[in-house]
Amino acid sequence: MNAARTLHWLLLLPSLLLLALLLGLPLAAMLARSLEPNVLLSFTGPALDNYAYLLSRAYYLQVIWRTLRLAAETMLIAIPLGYAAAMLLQGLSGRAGNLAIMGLTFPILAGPLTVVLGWMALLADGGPFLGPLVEAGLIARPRLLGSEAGVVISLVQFVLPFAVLTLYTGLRQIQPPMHEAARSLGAGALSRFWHVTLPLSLPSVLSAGIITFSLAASSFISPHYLGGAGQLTLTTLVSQFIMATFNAELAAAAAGLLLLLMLGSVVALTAAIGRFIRP
Amino acid sequence: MPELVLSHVTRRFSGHTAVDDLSLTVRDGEFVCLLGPSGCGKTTTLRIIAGFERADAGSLTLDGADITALPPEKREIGVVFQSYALFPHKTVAENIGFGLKMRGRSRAEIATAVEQALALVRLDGLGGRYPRALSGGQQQRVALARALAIRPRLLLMDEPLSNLDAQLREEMRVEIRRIQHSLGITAVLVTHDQGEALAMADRVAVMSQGRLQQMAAPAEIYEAPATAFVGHFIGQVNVLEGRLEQVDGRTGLLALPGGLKLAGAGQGLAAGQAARAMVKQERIALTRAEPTGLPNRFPCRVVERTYLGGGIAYRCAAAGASLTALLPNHPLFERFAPGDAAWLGWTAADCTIFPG
Repeated sequence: MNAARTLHWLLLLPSLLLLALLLGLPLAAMLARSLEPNVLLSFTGPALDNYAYLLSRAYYLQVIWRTLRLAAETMLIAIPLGYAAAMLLQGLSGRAGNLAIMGLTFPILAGPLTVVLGWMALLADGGPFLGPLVEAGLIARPRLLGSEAGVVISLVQFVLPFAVLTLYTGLRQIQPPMHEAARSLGAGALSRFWHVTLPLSLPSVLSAGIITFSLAASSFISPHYLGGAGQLTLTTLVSQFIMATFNAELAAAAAGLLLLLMLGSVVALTAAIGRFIRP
Repeated sequence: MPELVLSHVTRRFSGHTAVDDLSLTVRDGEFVCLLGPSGCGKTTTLRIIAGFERADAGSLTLDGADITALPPEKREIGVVFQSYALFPHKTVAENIGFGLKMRGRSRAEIATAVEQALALVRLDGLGGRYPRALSGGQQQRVALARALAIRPRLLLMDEPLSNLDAQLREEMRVEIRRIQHSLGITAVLVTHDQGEALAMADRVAVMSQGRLQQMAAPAEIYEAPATAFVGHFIGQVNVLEGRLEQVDGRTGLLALPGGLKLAGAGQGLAAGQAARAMVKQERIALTRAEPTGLPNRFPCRVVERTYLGGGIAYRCAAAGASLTALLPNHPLFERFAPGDAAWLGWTAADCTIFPG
């Protein structure tokens, strides 16, 4: 028994080493750097002055708040949309279902940049989406490019396939007799959803929540191209520190903050949804 | 009175007919087993009764009211699933109380009903547990209690015992029968296990290829099979093919290719017709002395001996035919070894002949 356990660890060792090397090392280097003095702030490192600086300026707090808000909004829109799509997907037969899943994964294959460029064209004031409506006098010029709404629309689109696939896998794990049992006991469609489908899919709702929140919070392309300088988030802020002010230490601190905030959010999300997962 | 009537029920799936013009009646308070090999349509029939599957043709009435188009949630039919399908996120008590909660009953009323149901299936005190903390047998009892808690007009069970080990299965047979009897509830159980069907049912409905072969009391199914399929399917059976030499009403003489002539009974027999004789293994006597009292008696040689614990099966060769005799493992019965010469014998009544 013990020998078998040792063997398991031995077999895991190469991949653990690789992970430590490829993920742990750069992360440690980044965190170490975030504790060092720089062109803007002089102190004797390692110390937390860079973090204190970022957390003491209203402007940066606004960026942090925007990052969390965008991620939360994206998650809150993507989960119900994804849930509905996953339920529809479940109703499709073999071939149609496979086609739908291929279609869903296409944006992931195409890469976010390609899709964001498309959104830039679509969301432009004179674009094919809004242009005709504006010209017809149906809506006022909405100015989606450079607005938070534009960023959220594109982020939702970006994270949606991940949400759908996660929720779909979760829904599929519920055995069909579960629904039939509920029906035979007199539960209508709404009751079945509320008492059977939803509670049994909560673990996958939690996973989808963590995935969509993390993807949205760490996304760079959407806020960069569709939000611009007026909608800075932690990721685009990091990029500004590196590309515009050449301050790698402050950039590292901002990235460190993002990492901490995401970890904190995952813990909070798990606690919030986990309460409802039984037994 | 809750009487279930199926009239000409048919269900087709792409390419094959799962249930083919099935008509049967389950009487009030009766325990009926649908029995047949896998793919015979018994489970589809149960699902049509429950409402999970629609009937392409035909109709169902329960209590005299047509339920053909009624959705399952309105049928007031309790269902026990093969996999039990207990809600894993609800406690035993919540599982059992679910149906009453859906009916908007008060908390106090549900609590009382749950206690009663738990007592009925002898699981008192386990209401607070989650299903996964229970053994397979206990889960089975919870599934039964949950289906019964709504006081259904009809109880359906789909292979409820197939996931239990042999000893527990025997125990639950008796237990389910006891509960069904004490409540006087009308019940339909689907099984592929003939022992289960014969032991539990008031009447057994044998199905094959979507059709009802015979519906009768267990003894009648066993002793007087109505079709060749039932004769072959129920019990351990020797099948002998030959041609009818002479027919006198319900009795006939079947000549086998090897020269044996068997006296048997059957319906719709005609001389010159190809036919099959079926003899249950335990109805064949195997003796060293010639069994002069039996109309069918043939000298044979023992080819193979299989020890079965409660019995011993001897495969014997007689004039080109191979027959198996099952003898009780009891000192009153003679013992044989492969190579021994012996006599096979059976009555004409135990030799059922089917044309074709």
